[in-house]
Amino acid sequence: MREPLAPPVPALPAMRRQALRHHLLSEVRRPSRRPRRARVLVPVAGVLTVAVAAGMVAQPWAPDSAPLIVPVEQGERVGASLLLNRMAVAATDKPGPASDQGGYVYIRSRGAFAELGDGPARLQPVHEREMWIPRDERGDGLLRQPYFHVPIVGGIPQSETIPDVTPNAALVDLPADPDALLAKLYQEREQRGRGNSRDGAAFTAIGDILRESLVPPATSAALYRAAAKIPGVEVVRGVTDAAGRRGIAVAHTERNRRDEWIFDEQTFDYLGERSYLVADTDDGPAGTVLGTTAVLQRAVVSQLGQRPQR
Amino acid sequence: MRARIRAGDSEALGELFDEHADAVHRHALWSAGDPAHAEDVVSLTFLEAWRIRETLHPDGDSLRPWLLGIATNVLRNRRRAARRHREALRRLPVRDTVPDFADAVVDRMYDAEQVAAALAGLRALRRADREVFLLCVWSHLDYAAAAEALGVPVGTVRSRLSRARTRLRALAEQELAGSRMIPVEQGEYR
Repeated sequence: MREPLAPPVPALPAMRRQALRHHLLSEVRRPSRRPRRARVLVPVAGVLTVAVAAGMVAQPWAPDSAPLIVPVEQGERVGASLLLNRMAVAATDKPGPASDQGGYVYIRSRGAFAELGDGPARLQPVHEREMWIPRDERGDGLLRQPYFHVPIVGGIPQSETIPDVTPNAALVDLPADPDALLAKLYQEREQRGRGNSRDGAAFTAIGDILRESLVPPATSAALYRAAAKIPGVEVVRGVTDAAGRRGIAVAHTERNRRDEWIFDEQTFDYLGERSYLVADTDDGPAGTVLGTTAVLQRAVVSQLGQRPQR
Repeated sequence: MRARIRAGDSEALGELFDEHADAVHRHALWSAGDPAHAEDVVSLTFLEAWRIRETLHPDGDSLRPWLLGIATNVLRNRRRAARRHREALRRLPVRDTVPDFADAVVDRMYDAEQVAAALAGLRALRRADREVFLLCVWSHLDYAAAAEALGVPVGTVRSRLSRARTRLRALAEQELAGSRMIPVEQGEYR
């Protein structure tokens, strides 16, 4: 009998081959070779302002630059729940998001994350990020942002479809009662079994909702009231977001890392986030910035990829 | 080349890719069948090669056996490799859905049924035997090279290849006799 001969198979297309080669070399030349432990959000332009003011390098993301370090201020535990409850009251007085027709929530933000795991954390370049989230039904979303680790060449996409995105409506329908809301977040955390504590997980979950969603004032108020009930929440003043806007922050610290949500001190509008180390660790000294963001626009649009007027 | 790879010379990795990516890709297609999967295996194989470059033996000829051995490991446990290089895979450019002209030409030459028929017999082999068959017969590695690729003694390669051929012959006879092929259990063994 004749044993099976190697069948002809389609060759790797030349373009594709080139793209894979390019990807390979970009990956192995990346400064951090160990896998990242986590992606962390942090505001950037604000941080930049601080950095420049402090006489530091103007481009903290240059591959060989010094890590970005901000002063670690003392948080106030006492004022936190008072502030959050005031914010909740203020939120309910605000007009809701315009009842625009359209199937997608659009959020434009800017920011940068640090890569952890290989010496002191360094921020990526500050970049703009646009996210489209289905409004009512679970389905495809779209994320548009630059890919820095791969030099931008033909064939490297800057936007990617994200399948199976939880619709914005799921957030709108969260319990209005803060205790019920917090109980739900704690329960979800149990199901996921995430690494941080249940309070840290709840704080992170609320932060995720605040960052990329479009919710009515009543939901915002419920989120603030629920956050007020999380043990260990603090107020930090004089914080800057990734767009350079100053505000007041609600913060939670866990495992030497402080996560802040930044709000306008007068209007209590949400500005962005910042995360940094509060103690010296393998990822850098206290004050090392791990992430910075600023939300610039929230809107409703009718199609994936469609942009609202700025 | 070995010294340059071991020393972390990424230019050398690029040359290695140019020389062997097609062989790794073919091997992955024969083993896995699915083109998107096969491309991931190509990327993972070279990322893995880079990760373990310091374990590369400083003496020897072609690096193809080494790479095909890594590809074989990736194919055995793709999920583990994918987890290890999760961030890199996330940045992998998406496949172009529009084939270019060259693809169209290749597609005409590519007879899916013929491939499926050739692979059907192999599926009935135990994995360890199939790996040896693919490396020695289809990828043209000699016994020593296949042994290097798989990290087993040359004698083991010989016996596995012999078993694979016996089994393939038996299957062919069964087929002639009109009986059904019964795949053996796919466990790994030595």
